[in-house]
Amino acid sequence: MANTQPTTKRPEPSALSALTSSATPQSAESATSTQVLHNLQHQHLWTSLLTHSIATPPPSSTKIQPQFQSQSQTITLVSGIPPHRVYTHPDEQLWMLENGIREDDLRPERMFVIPTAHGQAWSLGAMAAVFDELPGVAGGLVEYGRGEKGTEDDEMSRKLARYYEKREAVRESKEWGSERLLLAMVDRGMGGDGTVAYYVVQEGEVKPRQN
Amino acid sequence: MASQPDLPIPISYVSGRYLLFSIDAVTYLRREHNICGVLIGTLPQIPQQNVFLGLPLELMPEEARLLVDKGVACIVDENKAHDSMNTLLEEDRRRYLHDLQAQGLHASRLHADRKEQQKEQALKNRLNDKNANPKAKAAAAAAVQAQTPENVPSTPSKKDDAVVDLFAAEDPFTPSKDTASASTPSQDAMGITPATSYPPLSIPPSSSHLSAPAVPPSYPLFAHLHSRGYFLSPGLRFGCQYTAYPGDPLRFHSHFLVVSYDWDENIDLMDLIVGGRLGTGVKKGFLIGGAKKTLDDVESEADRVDSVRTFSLEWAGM
Repeated sequence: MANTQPTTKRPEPSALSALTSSATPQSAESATSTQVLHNLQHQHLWTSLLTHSIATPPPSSTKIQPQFQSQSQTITLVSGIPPHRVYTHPDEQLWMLENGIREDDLRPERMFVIPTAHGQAWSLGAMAAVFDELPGVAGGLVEYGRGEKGTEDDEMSRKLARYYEKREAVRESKEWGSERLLLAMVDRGMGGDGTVAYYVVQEGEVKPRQN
Repeated sequence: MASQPDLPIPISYVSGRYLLFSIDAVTYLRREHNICGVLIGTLPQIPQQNVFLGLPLELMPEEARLLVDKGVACIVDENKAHDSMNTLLEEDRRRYLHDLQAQGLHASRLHADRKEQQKEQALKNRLNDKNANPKAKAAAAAAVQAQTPENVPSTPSKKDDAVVDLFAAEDPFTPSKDTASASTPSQDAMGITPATSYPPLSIPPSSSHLSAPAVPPSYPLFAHLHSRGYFLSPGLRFGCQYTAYPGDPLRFHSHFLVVSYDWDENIDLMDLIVGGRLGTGVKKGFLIGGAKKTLDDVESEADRVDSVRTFSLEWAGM
């Protein structure tokens, strides 16, 4: 039994490892973004994925510890079109129910994601900066996924027109929630297993869903 | 019960706690200013019975500060106020006792009146019982019921007699069956236990008020949410700093678990996950927020409230 076993070879790196190590430039943030993008694309079947760099201002106060203090950081946002709606505000849901619209009737919309990693420095200031920059990034991207059903139903298209009209109307009052993002957290360090946790973040006091 | 106490309401400062001892003040603050506080009073004999607590009401320093800033309340050092209580003037004392006496007399007069009414009712019923056929009796009973809906419903006369006896027995000075003595209200004042401290205490002069309470760094977020109409209560039981209710907690479920951060404070992302997960598990949102301006930028805490930004988190379910 001595020499029958072949010399062990290092296994091929996983597809994800290969992807993150080939991505340029090499920085912790971009690796996180790449991993989240990969996760969205292959585990959650998002389409039309894009990345956007935004600059967040340095911390305003000077009394924090020097290791957290840096010049303006760049955060790479990921955006894409999810196969199903990720979030529906409870009031919006009620309106849709009353008007006989199901979530699947709506066109899927582009959603933005902040990639973060466990242990990364994060603060209210950073969160606010991302929300402030969002309209600039999202401005030209009010695109929808392919309307898969087409307009076979006259009644439904009328309902949908009413829905989009209503949504435009409540945008200002924030009745159906405000700007929203997904906060994606990658687990690094202890037993990092490629899991990504997603949380919906909205600016302001938005009442919770009753799920 | 829309009684309004005299403003500013004195908040007793006792060994680091902000307490309210007057039920009028407590209901007023809850009704008009969305301040609930926490009832902490229990029965000295059975302190383990702590599901429903009573006065006094303990306020968070944030709540006390908010009320002081709004000019609704003032802080009174209970220790010092106690000294002046010894010097309660003899006339004041007598006036107060006289006042209590008058209230007691009023109460006993009301009581005697009601007793009288019930007695008449009972006699009428008995008469009806004796000489009327069942139909007339029923009609009389209905009439009686219509006349005095607040009284004990006209059941058979025996029971009514029992009621009269019961009330009479409470008052040993009134011979129960003697109509003559019952017609003149008894002169024994009932004992009154007032649930207010002002009077007998005089409102302390404004020079003796303590300064506004020191508040934790989360105060701007607290004041911001309060100004949006949220009722806030301490959140330790729910794993957060405050729980925010969209209306009176007796009517509404809480909407948010609230945690305040300084603007540049390092947030552990795991805390966001933990809070978001916990909130979603109990049908609430997880709300983080804080003021952008620091105390160095502005003069007072109140000015920081405008610069508060908040973010609500929920599990995305993916």
